[in-house]
Amino acid sequence: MNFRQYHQEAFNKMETPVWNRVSLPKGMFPIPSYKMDASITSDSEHIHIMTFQEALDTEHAISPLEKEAKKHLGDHFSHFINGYFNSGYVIRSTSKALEVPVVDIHYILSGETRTLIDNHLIVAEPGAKLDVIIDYHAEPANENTPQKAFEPMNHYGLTRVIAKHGSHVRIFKLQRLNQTAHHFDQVLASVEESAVVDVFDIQVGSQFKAISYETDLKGRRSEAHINSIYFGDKDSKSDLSFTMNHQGQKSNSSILSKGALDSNALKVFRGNLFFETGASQSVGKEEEFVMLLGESIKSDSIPALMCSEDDVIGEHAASVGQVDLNKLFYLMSRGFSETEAKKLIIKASFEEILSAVPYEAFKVTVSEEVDKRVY
Amino acid sequence: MTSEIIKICNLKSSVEGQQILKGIDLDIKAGEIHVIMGPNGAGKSTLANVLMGHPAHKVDTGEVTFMGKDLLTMKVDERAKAGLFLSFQYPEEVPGVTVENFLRTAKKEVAGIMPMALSFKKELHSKMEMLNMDSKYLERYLNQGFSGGEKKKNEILQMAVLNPKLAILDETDSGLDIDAIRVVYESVQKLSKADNAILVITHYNKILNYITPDYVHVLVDGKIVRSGDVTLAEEIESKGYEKREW
Repeated sequence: MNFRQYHQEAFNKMETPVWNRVSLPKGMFPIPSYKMDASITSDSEHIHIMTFQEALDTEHAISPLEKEAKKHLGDHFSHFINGYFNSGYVIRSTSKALEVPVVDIHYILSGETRTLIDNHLIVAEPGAKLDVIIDYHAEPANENTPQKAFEPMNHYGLTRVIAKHGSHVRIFKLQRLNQTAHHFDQVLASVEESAVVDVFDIQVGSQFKAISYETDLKGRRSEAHINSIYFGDKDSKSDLSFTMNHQGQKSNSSILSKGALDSNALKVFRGNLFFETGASQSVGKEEEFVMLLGESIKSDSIPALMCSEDDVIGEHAASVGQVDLNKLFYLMSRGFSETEAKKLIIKASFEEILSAVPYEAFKVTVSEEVDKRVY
Repeated sequence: MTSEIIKICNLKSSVEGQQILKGIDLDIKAGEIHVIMGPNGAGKSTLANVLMGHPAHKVDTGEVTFMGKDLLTMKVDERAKAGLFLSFQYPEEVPGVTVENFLRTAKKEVAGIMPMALSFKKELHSKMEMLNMDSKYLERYLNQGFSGGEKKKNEILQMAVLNPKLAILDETDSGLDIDAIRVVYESVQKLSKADNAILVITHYNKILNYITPDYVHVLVDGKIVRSGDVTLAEEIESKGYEKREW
């Protein structure tokens, strides 16, 4: 039985999952009959790219360990993605050049190809550097768009990141699907000694979004930093989960999340810091800041700190508040309408995270997406 | 005949049920500079905020006509577009928006058309020179990490760019050193034109070395208790606000 068959069989034996805090939408797990290609570019000869399927079909291209996936959103999702993926890449960097190599992956979902199931493996070899940008967006509907285009688009993703000794990987994910889309994304990172993984996860689209990041800080002095931005449209549902498993001594992690929610949005944020035996002198920090733009919003923040080691530092902070009225007043006194002023305030709150993104076009896109979605 | 900029009649306002303004009457005409002085807690900043439309302040009664229109029914941005400007006592920080972009967009909002980038930049540079501001501030995020003095200068820069009909300066001198006070108020004096008006709110009369008001008003306990010319400010300087029969 091959990899795909194994997971398909496992998936088909499972019952439909039920979530308590954020109820899952109808019409889940559609099986696409087509492949989806991304627009993928790389600027370095030290980056090796092949499709995930090619890697599975090629002996020794991918090790059993690299195929492994933890639970994340649940076994159901992992089996579904591994069994039915219609896109995905294996990206390896051996580049130690001063200038960080960039791989840019761009997915466009449309009326005809409205389900994307992508399965990625990103590996930075010892001492290597790598930046990967993954952008998910929807082709805008117009008068010629078939009716199908207005049915929900679906994205199910699994990204494994392996940062080997002394390497540095940065992942920039931007999800800007349309307001009816369903988006499920899971990222598993494994960080070895003295390696660093930085994540910028920007979620501005979709009616339903569930994301799960699980990072194993395996090595001594390993580091991982997740910077998350989310915007919840009117009536949207979001389930966001970030987990740091500190295993190596003197490992260091941070989770910083900045969000804005519009009327009737529902959101659950889970920030988990686990300090396992052996992770002495490690430091973990999680912070979440949410701005409420309307009424009847349900925003849950569930931080968790679990320690099996004494000598660790774990911090968490969360704040939820309405838009700063004084800031709104200041901007409106300069002629900005309430909506324009709100957009500026939201973008100002996201700026703490975006200022660390080195890609101008990425930042401009995020800004434009916020402009489109706040009204 | 001099045209009227703003006419305030019997304006009363409250915050959380407590009345702060207890009947303000004030007429300001084009070409005039007015100074409002008063002790702490008299309602000076409240008057500025009520005129600009701060949502925390409730207008209990009164009428305000600004450029021939009913000011109190306008939204905050509509007041700005009509030509009202408030230089804030505590300007807000807005990261992610550079001073240049902010000014250009604000100018577009107020004037209705986006100014040409090149000529606008030239105009900005000359105004910043007047205010003794380094042009590197244009690239910085709005008020973020600015010193108190730079924030206030930035307020006057916005005033210079937006070219309002009435500029209200709410204690723009607070937090400024003596050199900055001179630069700021000399600039304000230069921005005074025959077709606009300026209302300066202050504690002290030290700014009067650099600006020449047409009228000075004393605001105590939510009411203007006396109005006069610049000699009134000198009187306050020597005798203070307290223990006086106004």
